[in-house]
Amino acid sequence: MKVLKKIKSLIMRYGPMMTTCEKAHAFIDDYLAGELPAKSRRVFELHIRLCGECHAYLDHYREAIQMGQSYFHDQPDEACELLPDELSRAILSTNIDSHP
Amino acid sequence: MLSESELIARLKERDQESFAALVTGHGAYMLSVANRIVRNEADAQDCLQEAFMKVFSSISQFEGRSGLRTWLHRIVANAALMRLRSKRRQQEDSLDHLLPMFDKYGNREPQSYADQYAELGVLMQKTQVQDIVRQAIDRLPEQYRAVLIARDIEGFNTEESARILDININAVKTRLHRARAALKTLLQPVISAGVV
Ligand SMILES: [Zn+2]
Repeated sequence: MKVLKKIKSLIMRYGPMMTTCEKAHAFIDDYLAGELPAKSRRVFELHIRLCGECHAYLDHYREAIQMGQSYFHDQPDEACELLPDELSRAILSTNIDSHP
Repeated sequence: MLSESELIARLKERDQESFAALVTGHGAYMLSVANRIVRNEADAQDCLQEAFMKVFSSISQFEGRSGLRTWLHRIVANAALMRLRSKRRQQEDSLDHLLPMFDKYGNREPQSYADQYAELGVLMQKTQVQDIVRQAIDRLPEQYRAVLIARDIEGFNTEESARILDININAVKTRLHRARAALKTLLQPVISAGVV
């Protein structure tokens, strides 16, 4: 197992168009933002194709971001309770005061 | 009931009744947005007041490229994120234990999610995925949480986030990367279970 790991790391470190998991990891955000230069992008994509761990990591990383986007806020129609009266009045009085 | 375009037209004429309609129609949603970000009712109410002052003073510039609700959401989220700035003075909390590890050759080390699975066992029985996601984000140290919300959830770009949070662009990028990685770790059991 250790030997296999070592071989993988040698290939990843010294093979043409190769990079290590650690270096590929540092590219993730730029890759997702579409901001990786063409060559780095090819290197990154090749690593993801060859490395099962990083492939899974990238998929799950993207999924975690999407879950945050989908679930963080209530949907507008779910947040239907009314504002406290006092707060509405305060907001409107500020507006009236500042814009006579 | 006024249509959105009628409401906006009247707001631009500074019609007081239309301001009241705006507050009644959108205030509760905006308060929930602020609450989710600052996690404190009193702070959220302050943010809402600030947000409406901004709305009232800049309605004449609203061009309707995005919908009214989207515009209001962005204004109140901005106000809430700015409020988080004052909280970041606290010591930088670590989230290193939630980040991936690499061996001396740069290979990815297998990550353990035992803690996350242990917690989820309890959570799954009583809450929905929405609660799990919210709790995961709430558990990020404030300086990471603020950047994640600004960039990934509210969709502010790197420069806007840097300005709103008063940090430099590199700090936005580094913190975003670490926050996303930590969030992924916290959500791993839900992701692996394919619940979503
Ligand atoms: Zn890898």
